[in-house]
Amino acid sequence: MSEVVRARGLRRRFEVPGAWPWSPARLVTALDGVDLDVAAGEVVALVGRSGSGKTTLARVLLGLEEPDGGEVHLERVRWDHLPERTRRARRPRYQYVPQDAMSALDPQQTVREHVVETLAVLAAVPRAEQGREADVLLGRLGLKHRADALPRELSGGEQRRVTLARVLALRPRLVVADEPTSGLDPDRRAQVLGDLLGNLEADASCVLVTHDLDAVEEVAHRVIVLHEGRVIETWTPRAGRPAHALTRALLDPWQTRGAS
Amino acid sequence: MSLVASLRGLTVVAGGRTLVRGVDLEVVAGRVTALAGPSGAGKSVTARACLGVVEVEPGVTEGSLRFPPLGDQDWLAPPRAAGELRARFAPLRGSYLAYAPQSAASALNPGRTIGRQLELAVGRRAPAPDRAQVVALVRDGLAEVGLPEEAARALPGELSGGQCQRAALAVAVAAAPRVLFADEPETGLDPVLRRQVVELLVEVGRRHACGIVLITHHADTVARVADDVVRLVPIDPEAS
Amino acid sequence: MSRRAAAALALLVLILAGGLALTAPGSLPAAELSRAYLPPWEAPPFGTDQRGRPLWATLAQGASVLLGPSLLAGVLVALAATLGGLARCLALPWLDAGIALVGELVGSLPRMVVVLVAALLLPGGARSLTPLALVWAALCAPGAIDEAAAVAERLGGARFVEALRAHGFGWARIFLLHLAVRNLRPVVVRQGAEVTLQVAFLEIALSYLAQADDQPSLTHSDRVRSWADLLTMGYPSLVLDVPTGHALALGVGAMALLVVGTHAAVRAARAR
Repeated sequence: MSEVVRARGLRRRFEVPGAWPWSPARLVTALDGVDLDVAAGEVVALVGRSGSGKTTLARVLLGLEEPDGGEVHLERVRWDHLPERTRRARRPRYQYVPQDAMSALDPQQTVREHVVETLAVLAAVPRAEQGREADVLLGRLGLKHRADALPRELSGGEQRRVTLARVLALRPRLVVADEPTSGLDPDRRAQVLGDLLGNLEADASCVLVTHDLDAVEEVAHRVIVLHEGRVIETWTPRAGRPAHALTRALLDPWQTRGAS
Repeated sequence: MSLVASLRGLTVVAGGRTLVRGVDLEVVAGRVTALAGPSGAGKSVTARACLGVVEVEPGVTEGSLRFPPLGDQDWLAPPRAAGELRARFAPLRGSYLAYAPQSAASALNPGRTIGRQLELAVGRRAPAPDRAQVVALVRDGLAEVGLPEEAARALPGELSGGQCQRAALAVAVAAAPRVLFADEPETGLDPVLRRQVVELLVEVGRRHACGIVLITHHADTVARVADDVVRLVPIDPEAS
Repeated sequence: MSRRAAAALALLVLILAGGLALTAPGSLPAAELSRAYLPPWEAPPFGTDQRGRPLWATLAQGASVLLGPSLLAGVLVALAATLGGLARCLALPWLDAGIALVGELVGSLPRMVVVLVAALLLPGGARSLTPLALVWAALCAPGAIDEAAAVAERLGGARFVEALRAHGFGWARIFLLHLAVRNLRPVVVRQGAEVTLQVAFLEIALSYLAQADDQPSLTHSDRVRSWADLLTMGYPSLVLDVPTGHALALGVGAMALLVVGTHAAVRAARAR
């Protein structure tokens, strides 16, 4: 089993300006020495409270932010601090599903045009095939009947599915999804995760950033719990209940399932 | 058992579509009624109708709403035009009825400090409090929701998400309402914070002998916190 | 009106106006007093003025005076707005602050006064609309940049750029195609068209005022005439019994054509 992601000693701090122009800026430590490995075909959940560093970690993995310390290797290639020019060619293999689905969509493009663009420009699909492949993808995500709609005409869930369609069109090796289930009802959450994970290639990996442990418990092989920039627990759902109190609180805040 | 609001058979129609049909809701002082259901089921529509806020045409077509402490009249009796209802419920909103919207940011005026907003809310009490009482009530209000005294001087933009929720709650209960509608207060909060905010809501409500209508789609919250549950299902399953 | 039809109409107006401007005689044709004030049906195509000169010459010269500078100003403002919108997506706080500062300073200036001052400061020999058009464009640019930046913000600004970059698209595709052509286009074209129209009417107004004051025009040399002359000539027909109504109709018609053209351009560039 080859590893897709290998990160060691990741550190990241940034300045948050003070409330007033003359107030000193605060230094916030988002990541404080984090190691992470993701193997091919694995689904890893990054969980933690708001502000625990999970979103920062996800962004650093993909190179959307540079770490102040540590290294990231994707498929054994050093990824952090690589010039963007060099990274661009490999980006289709490592995809990002942002929390705000609408921000990734062009308001002047229909659903179908979004997918066709990805196929044409990034997947080098010949023109004759583009329409057909796009329709297949849209069909799998239940967007066939919305193919000619503009983003503003879509519901939040549909917008998310369009972003997913584009990402899946590239058959990536790694997908990092930032809070894919946020704002959705319990029944819809399972659907979105199903849409994402059910359509990935067999050996593709997925990193899910969420604070909703309930939703990912079923699908994650490993759950990595972050708190104040550090990993406090790595929990394997199949192996039993989590050890750390915080993990248990994230999983079941009202203790409706009873103590272990 | 003190009934503070009683809704019977509410039906709200938007254009040709029925948003909610035949909804009953009873609110008892000091108890939590959960208004549960998936998105698109009409929870917010129901809550807003109880406040006289109807944003669709033709709007409320059926239903009766009584507030026993205020008498026996039906507040949703015809005429039911949107403007008419809004004006009729105006004296109740902010004093007898309180609403904490889903996004705490929209509950708070971004240009005014928390302290000032609390003062204005407190001033809606009957009988109107004097200056010294207002100051005391504001201080107590902040302490009750777990905000420090410095928060009175802060603008909403300077507070974190959780702090904003608390501030919005303080403003909502400042006028000593009898019915408090909390519209999905757990949105965007991590599970630990969710529990804290809901527990605070329940505690504050009980202390003020206020009936709480908690709109939520989280099953665990309903199981743990609700004394009564009203479950809505969408009329049109394809919605959203 | 469909976008195609609107684009065709705008192009048609441009060709007409451009054709007029290009075929304008360099100086006024010779006077023939015996043919003064002839209506269009006696002296096609548009009749003659008080000295018997054909009105189409005035029309064409007016077009040549105002068309070039107006379009130039419009294009410059559209360009500035595009750059401003793109700059907003870079999320560089110092750049945003700098643009905002310059915008506030320039935006607080009274436009007509500045333009008139600029006109009066021009050396006597170089009387042309172009410097005034450039000044006007500079004064209008900050407002246009603001509008374009607002559109960029609504789009998601830097988050939009980042999401597309993370997907694998290159800078050129993101900034030129998605941002500039697809999304900034409607607001940018609208701002440019507004400025084009404003400069054209500025020229007519300045020339009209110069005429009324019996001064030489600020915007063109004495060898050519502008559309203001059509109005000066034609306006008395409304109050007195002089046969110059055809000049007024021609002047108003020319201005209406400009309005139609710019409006059509805006419609053609509108969003889906």
